[in-house]
Amino acid sequence: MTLGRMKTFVLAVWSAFFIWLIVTGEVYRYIGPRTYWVVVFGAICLTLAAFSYGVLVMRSQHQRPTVGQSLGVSLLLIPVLLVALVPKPSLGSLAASRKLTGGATSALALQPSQLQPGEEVSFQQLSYAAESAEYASVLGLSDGLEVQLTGFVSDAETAVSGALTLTRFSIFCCAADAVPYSVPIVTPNDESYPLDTWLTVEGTLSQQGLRWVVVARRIQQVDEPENPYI
Amino acid sequence: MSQTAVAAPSPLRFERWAPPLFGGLLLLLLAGRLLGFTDVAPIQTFAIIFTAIVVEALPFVLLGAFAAALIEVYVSDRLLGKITQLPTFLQLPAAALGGFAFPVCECGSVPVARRLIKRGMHPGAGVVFMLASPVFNPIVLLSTWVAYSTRGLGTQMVIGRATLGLVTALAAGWALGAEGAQELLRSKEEASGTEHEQGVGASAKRRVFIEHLSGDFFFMGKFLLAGAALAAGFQTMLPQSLISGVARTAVIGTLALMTIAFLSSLCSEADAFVAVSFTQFPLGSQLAFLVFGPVLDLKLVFLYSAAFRKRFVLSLAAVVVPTVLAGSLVAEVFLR
Repeated sequence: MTLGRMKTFVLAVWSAFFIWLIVTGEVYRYIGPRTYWVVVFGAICLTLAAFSYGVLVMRSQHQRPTVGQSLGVSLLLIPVLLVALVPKPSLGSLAASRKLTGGATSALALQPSQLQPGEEVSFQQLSYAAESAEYASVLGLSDGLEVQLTGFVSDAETAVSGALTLTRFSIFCCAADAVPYSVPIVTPNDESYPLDTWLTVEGTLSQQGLRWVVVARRIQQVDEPENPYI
Repeated sequence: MSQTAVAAPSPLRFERWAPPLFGGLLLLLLAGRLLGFTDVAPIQTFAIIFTAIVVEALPFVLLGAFAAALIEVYVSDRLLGKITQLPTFLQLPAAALGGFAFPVCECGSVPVARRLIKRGMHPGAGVVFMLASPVFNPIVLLSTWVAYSTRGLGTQMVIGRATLGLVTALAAGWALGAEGAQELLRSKEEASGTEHEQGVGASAKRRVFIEHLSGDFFFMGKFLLAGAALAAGFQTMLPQSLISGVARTAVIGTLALMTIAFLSSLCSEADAFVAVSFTQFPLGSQLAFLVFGPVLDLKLVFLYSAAFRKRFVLSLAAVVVPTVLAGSLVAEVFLR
């Protein structure tokens, strides 16, 4: 194979990979909704680049690649091969333990609006509420409020002894900037679950110190959601 | 058209160490997949972060290669000559403002700066453009405003980021621009193998344009992969709490966040949303995170190595680290 054809092939593989990410929805595993356009833009540009370069290669003289050139061009296929070898990877408890937890005192400067009837309280809101009683009050949190949360089991520190920690990542641009939000869950009969198990927890809120804890009434093991982020 | 493609070793000797290293890793992964080991958390975490960084950055590398090829082939010597004849003290700020008009993140600006310097732009102005465009561009400033407006600090942080980013880029351009283009850029023999003679006809120009585009894309792409792999490795192995645990004072906190920015290699369009979550750090330290990351991180070290000589990164760090540190400490006074 000539060097030009190798480059065309690699560009075409990348173009197909971007299109596959969009068509299958796998894009949301890696990229946040805010930067979805980058993948669409990339798919269009890579397709155009592959086509243009392919046409150029067909019309020009053939250059045999050296071993170094072949390997250098082939290196660009590594991410695609990695996705093929590690399909549907997810950020779990290990990643949560490596990153700084979101929330904290920024809640003091947030301006929340009161939860509307039927509106579910979120991981972020519970994290912020743990840092600011004023935030929790404006949000309308109170003991006994019904909640339903879906997340994975992690070992993130929540300062509530004996509670299980349910975590969910929020991403902005891509998985590299994911921020974990964690909520302590008191399980019936002190049930425990392995790390990274996805659960849907239904229960009621209870304030313990500053922290808001979910006292679980029903816990159900579920599959990882199609979009694992919030 | 005659071509003078140059096949040459890269400074990091990719052709020597990368194929066996990456090939070995892939074989390990293949074996792991067959045996079911790829489900383990470190591999999953690495795979998702590595792929995410590459997928997000690659279109910008292509965009940067496109712009660089446009400059090389279609911008006339006469037009560039007019710009390069401007006094240096005008070229530097003009290059910084150019960053505002070229809204790409850091991956795209490196090949463009390299090409501008090769075409005769003052090296300092090229460096200023390269460092200013990922910080001082409308998309990045808007994302900063959106992220910090939830804390009522949108305007202050945008002004702080634009100002400190501009000052940092100008300082680096002024300091590093003292060297000539020959001393700053990798020599032709070390470079990407995309040096071509100019054609004269429209068809020849199109051909050279596509050659340049693909050459820069494949060359910068390898360095992007290496940077993304290292950044994903650090994010997988190193708990950020180890660094943030020392973050109680302004100076230590700022250095800690600059270290996290360096290791994380976040896109400048996204980093504000991460910075805003570092609420245990002073605001000046968060500003340092926002300014330092887009000009010097792991992924960029590799991209800079593709365009500039080896000592460039060290020289850049010697200017950027104290400038950002000092600037963030001054900004802390205004942001309180």
